[in-house]
Amino acid sequence: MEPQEVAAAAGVHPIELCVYSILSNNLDGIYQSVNDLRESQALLVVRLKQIRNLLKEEQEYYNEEEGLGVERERLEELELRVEKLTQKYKKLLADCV
Amino acid sequence: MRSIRKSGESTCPKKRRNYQFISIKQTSSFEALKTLPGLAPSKQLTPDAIFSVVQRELKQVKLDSLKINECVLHDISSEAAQTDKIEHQLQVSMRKLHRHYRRIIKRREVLENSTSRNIECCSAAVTKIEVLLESLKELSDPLVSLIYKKDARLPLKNRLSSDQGINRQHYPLLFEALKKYESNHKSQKNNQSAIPAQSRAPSCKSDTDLSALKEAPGQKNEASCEPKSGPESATPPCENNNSLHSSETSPVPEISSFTNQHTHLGTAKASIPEFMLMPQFRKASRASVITTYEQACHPCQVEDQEVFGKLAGSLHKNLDIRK
Repeated sequence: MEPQEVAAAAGVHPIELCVYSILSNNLDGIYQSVNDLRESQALLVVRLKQIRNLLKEEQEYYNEEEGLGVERERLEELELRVEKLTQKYKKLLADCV
Repeated sequence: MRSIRKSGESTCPKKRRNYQFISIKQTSSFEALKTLPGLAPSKQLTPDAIFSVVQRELKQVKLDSLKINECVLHDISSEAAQTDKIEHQLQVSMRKLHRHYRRIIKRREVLENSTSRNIECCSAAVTKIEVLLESLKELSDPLVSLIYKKDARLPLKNRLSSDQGINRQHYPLLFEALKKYESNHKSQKNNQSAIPAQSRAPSCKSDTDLSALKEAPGQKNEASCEPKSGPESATPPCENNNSLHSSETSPVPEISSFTNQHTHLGTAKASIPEFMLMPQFRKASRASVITTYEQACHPCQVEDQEVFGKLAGSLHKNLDIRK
C-alpha cells in the first residue's frame, strides 16, 4: 500500500501524515519527560508527607511523654519510707536490748 | 555505417549524395519515443516553481506547524509553571521539615540525657532500697524473735500466740508475724533436735496461769509495746503493727518458707495444751459474765410475779431508805 492510499483510507491528508511523522518523535519525547517530571514530583510530595507525619508523631510523643518523674518520686518516697523504717527498727532493737 | 561514411568522406564527396540514409521514422522504437509525453519545461522543475503551484497548501502546512509549535510551547510553558509552583512548595515544605527535624533532634538529645540521668537515679534508688530492705530484714528477724521470746515468757493465756480472738482482731499483722516466726523457729528447732521443741511445749503449758481476761489486753499491749520505748502507751501498738506489717511484707520469701515449715508444729503445739485450756477459759469467762446477768434477771422471769413484786418493793424500800 502506498502512503497516499493509507492516508486516503484514514481520511488524513498525506501532508498531515508527513508532518506527524516528523514531529511525533519530539512530541513523544516531550510528553515522556513531562510525565517523568510529574511522577518524580508526586513521589517527592508523598515522601515529604510521610516524613512530616513521622516527625509529627515523634513530636506528639515527646509532648505527651512526662519522663520518669512519677517513678522517681515514687522511688524517693519508698526510699524515705524504708529509711524511716530502718531507723525505727534500729531504735526498737536498741530499746529492746 | 560510420566506417562507410568515413571512408566515403575521405574517398570522394560525390559519393555522399548517393548514400541512402536509413530513416527511423518507420521503426517501432521511434513510434515508442513518439508516444512518450514531452518533458516539462525546466522552469517548472525548480523547487520554487513546484511549491508555487501548491503554495496554498504549503502555507497551510506552515501555519499548522507553527500552530503546533505554539501549542506545544504553550503546553510546555504551563507545565513548567506548574512544575515551578510545585517545586517551590516542595522547597518550602522541605525547609519546614528541616527546621522541624532539627528541633526534634535537639529535643531528642535533651530527653535522652534526662532519661539516662533519670534511669541512673532510679537504678541507684532501687539498689539503695534493696540494701535497706536487706538491712530491714536483718533487723526485723531479731525483733520478731525478741517479741516471740518475750511472749513466751508470759503466761500462756496472755500470750500473743494464743488463739484469742482479741489478739487477732487488734493486732492481726503482729499476730501474723509472730506466727510466721514461730513456725520458722519450730521448724528450725525441729531440724536441730526434736526433743527440745517437745520439752519446750510442756514448759509453756506449765507457765500458764488462769488470770482474768481483762488483764490480757493490757499485757498484750505491753508485749507489743516492749520493743518500743515505754512511755508511748496508746499509739505504739498501731505503729508497731504498721512497722511489723511493713517488715513482714518486705522479707516475704524467707518468712514464708519458715511459716510453711512451722505451721504443722505450731498447730500441733497450740492444739494439745491450749485447745484444752483456752476454750474452757473462754466459756468460763463468758459464762460468768452472762450468768451474773442471767442470775439477776432469770429469777424474775422464772419466779412468780409476786416474788418479783416483792423484790421490786424491797428495792424501792431500800431506795427510799437511802433517800
